[in-house]
Amino acid sequence: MAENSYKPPEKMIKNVFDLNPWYFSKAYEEYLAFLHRLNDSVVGVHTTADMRCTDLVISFIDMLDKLEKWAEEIPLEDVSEQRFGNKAYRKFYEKLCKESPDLLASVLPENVHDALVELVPYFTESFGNATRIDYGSGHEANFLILLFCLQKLGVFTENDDKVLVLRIFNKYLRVCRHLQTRFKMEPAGSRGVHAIDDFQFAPFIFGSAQLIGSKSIVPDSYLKKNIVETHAHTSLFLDCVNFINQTKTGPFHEHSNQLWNISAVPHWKKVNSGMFKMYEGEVLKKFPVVQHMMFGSLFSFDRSEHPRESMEDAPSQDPMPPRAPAQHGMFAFKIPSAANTSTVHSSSVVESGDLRRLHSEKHPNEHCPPPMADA
Amino acid sequence: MALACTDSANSTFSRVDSPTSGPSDQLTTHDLDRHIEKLMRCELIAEQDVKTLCAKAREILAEEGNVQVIDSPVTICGDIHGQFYDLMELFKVGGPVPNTNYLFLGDFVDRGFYSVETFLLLLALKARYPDRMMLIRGNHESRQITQVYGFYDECLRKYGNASVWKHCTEVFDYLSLAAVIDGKVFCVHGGLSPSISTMDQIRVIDRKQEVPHDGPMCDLLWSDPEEGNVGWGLSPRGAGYLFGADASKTFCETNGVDLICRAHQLVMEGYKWHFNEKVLTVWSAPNYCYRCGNVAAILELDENLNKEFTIFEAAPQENRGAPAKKPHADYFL
Repeated sequence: MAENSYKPPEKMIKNVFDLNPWYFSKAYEEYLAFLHRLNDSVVGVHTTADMRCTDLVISFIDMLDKLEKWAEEIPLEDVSEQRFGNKAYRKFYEKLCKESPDLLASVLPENVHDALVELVPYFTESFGNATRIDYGSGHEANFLILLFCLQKLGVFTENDDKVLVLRIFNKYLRVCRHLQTRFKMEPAGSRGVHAIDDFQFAPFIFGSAQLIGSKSIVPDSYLKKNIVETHAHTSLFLDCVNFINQTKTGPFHEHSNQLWNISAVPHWKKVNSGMFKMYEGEVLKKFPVVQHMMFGSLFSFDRSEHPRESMEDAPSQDPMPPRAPAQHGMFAFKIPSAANTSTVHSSSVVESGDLRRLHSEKHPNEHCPPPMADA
Repeated sequence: MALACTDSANSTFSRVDSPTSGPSDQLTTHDLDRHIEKLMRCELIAEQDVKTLCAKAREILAEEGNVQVIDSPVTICGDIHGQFYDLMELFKVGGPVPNTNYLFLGDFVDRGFYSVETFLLLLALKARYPDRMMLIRGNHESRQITQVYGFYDECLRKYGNASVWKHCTEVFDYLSLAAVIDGKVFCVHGGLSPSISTMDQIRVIDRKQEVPHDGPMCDLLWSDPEEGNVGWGLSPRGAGYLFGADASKTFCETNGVDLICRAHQLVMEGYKWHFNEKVLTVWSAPNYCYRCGNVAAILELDENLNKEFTIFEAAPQENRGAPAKKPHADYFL
């Protein structure tokens, strides 16, 4: 697209009032449509199914492999004085930021190198936050947005959808698990047991699509560890549950209560459609997550030209968004200022990462150490 | 009050406008014992009972200063984060209330599965034994934080509406910000603030509010000690400060205290000394987030302020009933 002028993407969601334009933006519409296309491409498809990988796909996977090697080579620091995360992660992140432009340039075709300025930040912000040493569904979304941008640029086509999910995104998940485990990353903005997973969301969407039509595995099956272990290689959903089983101890109904609840849904098609609604309600409409999103010409904050009602790829049958998540969001924001016996200083839900910025503004450099890299 | 409660009396009083002079006056020790017994079994109490309990707790907490004055002996506990059965384990190793005096350093809620039962139990014990159960505020005792980290979701799931969350968050605002034991051990959830040199400066804070984003009240709940730090550093948490040995020493000398005891940071061994035993972290949530595999600790101070740490692990899993499966109706129906 020779006419495009690419620029580094910027944060556009500064407060809860920006959620509404985000909801009606081109980025929201196109990203959700992209996810649905990826989802539809893997319905009933095993992760291990044969699929043709182009040289570009193989190069992309090799690039992700390289990140995994870096993680392995960086020595861990002594038991951390701070939180749980190992500070060596910051060296990984520093290397990632330094090397990413060249990494992506070596993999991507020449004609999209102009767009690198817009693509690199999605890539560097896909693997976690170096200040807090945490990872969450917002970081995962950045990687999917990168893939979305690459498809928009024509680097990948819709023929690549299956490969994007089951080879590239799957490889990304393995790299992230390695980082999470090795550097003891903390769940970002975790609702603890009330989130579907401490770290990921999208693999539960795609993975439930993979299981649609399965004769041997019903939603209730993933509560049995041996079934999960045996079939983890066939579905991203089961692979995630397997990882949970490997890393968490204690009753499943406690540490993974949402998954416990979802196992009562009668069939995978309904799990899959529910996962999309949940992704919208719990990720895309949650200010603490989307405040970190970055927008440019490819992932555009501009208002969509299509009224919501006419979207072919609308995530639900209803022309309007699901009522409860919107109400939940609205209600949650109203509660603080409605409190009778206390004063609320902020009108928005604030994640701890946002508070850091207030301190940055407050303290001149001569009194504080230089601020660390920001997410 | 000596008068026995009747159901009709309860329903009459529940319509009175003033929550602090109405229902809470009808909360008898018998009622509290009943609530405690139920909550000890990890069973929820009715929403109306939550409202009454919160009003009573608020009344009691409002009488306590920003810096609670505590006499030894006392057992100090760190973060709990809704890990109800591990709290039962803590009471098992530390001794039951009221035989043991407790000081909990905040972060009762969020992340764990049983934040509601945990917080309400601690509140009920506070209401029943106000001089033997001391609670101070953590950074998670906040409307904004609990909306992100799980307590809000849990209240919605368990009660079907946000009223219980609202009642609890109103109580949060009345929790003390710090405590001092025998004038010698300063206790706080997070740590120090560059805005606070003396305990008197804590005493004049208007604490009955949502935790601010910055300033001294925020710092007390959010700061962390940092080995090798000189002065005050920027905290990666985005709130509070990193403070070093020099700031700790200055605070202790200025205020005549020997020790700063705090929680806020996961410690794999349950407790950790900093700065030549001037600052201590106590952490009381074993196997944090069901993944960390850490042990937990409590610190018992006897009447001479001699210290004894007790280490404990996550509670065994038997006899925990699985809840009914309830897929989120807005997503999966």
